[in-house]
Amino acid sequence: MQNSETKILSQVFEEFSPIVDGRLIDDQKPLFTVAPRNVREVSEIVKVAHSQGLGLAIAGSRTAMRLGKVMKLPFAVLDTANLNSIVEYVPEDLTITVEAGMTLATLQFTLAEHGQYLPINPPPSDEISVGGMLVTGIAGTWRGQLPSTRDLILGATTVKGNGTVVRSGGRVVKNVTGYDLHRLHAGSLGSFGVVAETTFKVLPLPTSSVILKIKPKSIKTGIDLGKLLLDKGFPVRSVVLTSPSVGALLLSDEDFLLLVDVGGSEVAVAQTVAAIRDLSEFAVDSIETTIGQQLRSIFKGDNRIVIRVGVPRQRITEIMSYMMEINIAGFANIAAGQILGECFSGDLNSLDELAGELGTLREIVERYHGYLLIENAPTDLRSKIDPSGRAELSVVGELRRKFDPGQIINPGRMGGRE
Amino acid sequence: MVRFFKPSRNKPEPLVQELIEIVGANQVLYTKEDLIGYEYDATIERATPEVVVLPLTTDEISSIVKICRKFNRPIVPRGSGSGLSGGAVPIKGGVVVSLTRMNKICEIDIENRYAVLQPGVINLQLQDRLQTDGFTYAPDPSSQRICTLGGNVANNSGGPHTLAHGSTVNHVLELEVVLPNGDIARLGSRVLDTPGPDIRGLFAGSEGTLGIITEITVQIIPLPQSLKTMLAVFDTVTSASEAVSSIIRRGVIPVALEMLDQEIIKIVEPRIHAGYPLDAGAVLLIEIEGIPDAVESDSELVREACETSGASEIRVATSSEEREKLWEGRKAAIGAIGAAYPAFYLLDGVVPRTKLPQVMENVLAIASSYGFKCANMFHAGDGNLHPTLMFDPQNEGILDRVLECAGEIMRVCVDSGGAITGEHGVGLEKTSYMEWIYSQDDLEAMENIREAFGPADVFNPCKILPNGHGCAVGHAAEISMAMAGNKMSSDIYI
Ligand SMILES: Cc1cc2nc3c(=O)[nH]c(=O)nc-3n(C[C@H](O)[C@H](O)[C@H](O)COP(=O)(O)OP(=O)(O)OC[C@H]3O[C@@H](n4cnc5c(N)ncnc54)[C@H](O)[C@@H]3O)c2cc1C
Repeated sequence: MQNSETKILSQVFEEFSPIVDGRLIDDQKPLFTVAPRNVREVSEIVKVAHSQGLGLAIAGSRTAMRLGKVMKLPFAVLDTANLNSIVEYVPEDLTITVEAGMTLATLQFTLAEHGQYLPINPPPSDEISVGGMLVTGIAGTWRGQLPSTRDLILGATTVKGNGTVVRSGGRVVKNVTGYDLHRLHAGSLGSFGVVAETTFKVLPLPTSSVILKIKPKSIKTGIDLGKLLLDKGFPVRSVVLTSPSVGALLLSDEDFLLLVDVGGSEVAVAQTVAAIRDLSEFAVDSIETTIGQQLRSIFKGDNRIVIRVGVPRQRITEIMSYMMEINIAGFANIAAGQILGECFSGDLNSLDELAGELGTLREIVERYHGYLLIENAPTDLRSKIDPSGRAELSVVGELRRKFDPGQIINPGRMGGRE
Repeated sequence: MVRFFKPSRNKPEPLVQELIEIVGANQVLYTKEDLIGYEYDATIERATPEVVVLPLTTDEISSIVKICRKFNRPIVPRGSGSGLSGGAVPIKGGVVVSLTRMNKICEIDIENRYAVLQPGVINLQLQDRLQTDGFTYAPDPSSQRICTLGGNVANNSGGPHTLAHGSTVNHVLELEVVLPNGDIARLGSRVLDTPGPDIRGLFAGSEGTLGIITEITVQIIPLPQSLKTMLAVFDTVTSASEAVSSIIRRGVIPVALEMLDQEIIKIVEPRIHAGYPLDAGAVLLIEIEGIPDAVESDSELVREACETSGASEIRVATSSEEREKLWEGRKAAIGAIGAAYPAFYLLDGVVPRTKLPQVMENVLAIASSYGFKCANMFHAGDGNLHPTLMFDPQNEGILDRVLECAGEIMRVCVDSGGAITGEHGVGLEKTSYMEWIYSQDDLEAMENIREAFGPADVFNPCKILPNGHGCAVGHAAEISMAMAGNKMSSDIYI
């Protein structure tokens, strides 16, 4: 696009005070950034963009922008930072409605004042916006024992790619009134429109929590013990096995570590800790609960290459061992059957090699009905290997055409817009 | 009113012949007598299909769909027909695909915590089967003895244990479905959080309008270490409703929190002998599960909450027989109404939990202003109401009054920030209420969903979306016509 055209375009958006802030998306320079203050403004901006055929990259807190396919130029940025209010919160209903640009941290802070929380801990931190959390589907170590965003979402206000505002679901905890459009956005990378408001089901915050550290001798003994604890129905929020290099970073302990997050009432936690001590053939130590946050942010950083692998629990030992062999260090969330790992790439040439290795790993996990997803990676790698590796169902393409006829929202993220 | 779309005949027509070629003569029903059983579900509406097919495999279903497309006939998927919104009623005739013969539990994988099932497996059969391994499948509709898992997924059914464990959608990992063009697709996967949009989640609750569910993989969970079932007795529905909020305020989420009011207790107790006090204004049936010490301490908090809200008595089940009795009263309540009254009409509103006391007062006042007895047994913890209006269908003009009263009650739910169905689905029954909740733009987006899957008239036409959104005939009128025509032939109007 010519400079003059850009100028005209940015004039079209003048009432929304477009700015050029120099922040890149996928190493590319957006034309400008607009930050609407309410759903109506989102709708107006999208309408104008749609009429101009202009792509809009939707940015929340920008903590999870390096996943999905590389965005296709030209695009402007619709930043959700100003969509950060609480729309409605009735603590006794255990539901909250907030605008989509609110960070999870602000949401958790509000809820904590009433002894509640959204039981989700996505990496790398609570800085993620709630809209970003929904569309990326990123969960954390509690996933498996606790629900994820797609389970906790009760309703949403979204804006289609032609600017039409659509509401679905509601503010009640149980609702089957019509199609659950809000679920469509879970994991969609924004390809069906802009999420402007979300309603979640929340839970009481455990009054007590502790993280236990156990040192198993090997991956297998660690995973087996983890599975045993999970099958006993204890109130554990997560059981994570870390590889030695992660153990070294986290607790200066270069060993396999089994970290068990127990949360509930004081009696529940006390009884669980005692029972786990009885069950474990290895020593069980209580450690600082801040370790949970440290583990979450262990792979934080724009230029890191972070993958998530999902496999049936039975395969975790095998896949985690394999990943370590190919130099991917990480940790396994045993309840969810997910392994988060960091790949070390040397220079650009070795990216080809890495893409090849990840391709092989993907083939192996797919044989077990699993998947490999690139959660964070530089654009080079995301151009060499499909970040999600899933063939798109034809109905998804149809849905995209219905919900974003000009294919302007996050252009190219999920493919399309050729 | 029973609708016949084509006079039933005894000589197979080309459509029937082609279907027989696919699945064999034993799996295709087309004579008038054979079709009668497929005219209705558990609601008031009836309509006769042209043909019923009972396939055994996904491939057969794929071929059936293609044949129906060729002959331009709508397809209505059907499980056990226990639905409470007219979802399985073939209102436009066509072909009913009954999934009841696809009833195999294909695989139970305890280590990986999933079960793979054909859609016709009965909910309770799965629970019973898992129990021996110390596991369970959480969603437990009161109809679990008869309803199919395919129907559960299609309706995103709930149950008493939804409060802690969520509805069906929260337990489904993967679906195999046949789409309107006959293609077979897999949605989700056996592992959690497959990348990509959650089409699995969208499909759950789509009431047979987007395709036929041919295989289901669900998550299974370990049985709790310990369980406590309590019965709290109150003088009024209002104080019982207040206790519900008071329990939640104390940070306790029971696995089940169910209410029965005086009217239903009077119907249930003499028949089931569940142990509910006959003079109670309302009872709460409360279940807590977890590790033993936590169950003890949580039940103390529950006791405290009930007492401060005015409970006159709190009883704890001391044996599994006692627990089962308490639950039987709840789960058999609808059947008991059927035995006690010539007809009844059951609603499924949902409201924010804190609005319960006010809404319940309004519901009872509305019912009494119409002169109806109204029984209530419902998922109080979820704010999911089932006001049930009892009436004598012989009374002149009664059906219009029932519908009018039901409409007023639904209005109260919507006005309190709630919705028109918490678990039974929109089906045919509530399509005309959809506009109370959603704008034309919202409904158009739902239509977009339907069209993205294929033409709106292929699967279950005229369900979910109101008049003008894929269905030419207005619905409120249809219901009253159907009820009026049907009043002699059915004694239960659920
Ligand atoms: C006494 C009683 C108690 C009940 N209690 C509850 C309760 O506690 N909670 C609750 O949620 N519901 C309850 N219900 C309602 C009903 O049992 C549920 O909706 C159940 O899930 C329906 O299952 P079904 O197999 O009978 O489905 P059907 O009634 O046969 O069909 C229901 C809907 O699902 C579609 N469908 C069925 N199978 C498939 C398939 N394989 N693929 C695609 N679509 C399909 C049909 O087209 C229809 O729209 C109750 C009903 C009764 C009669």
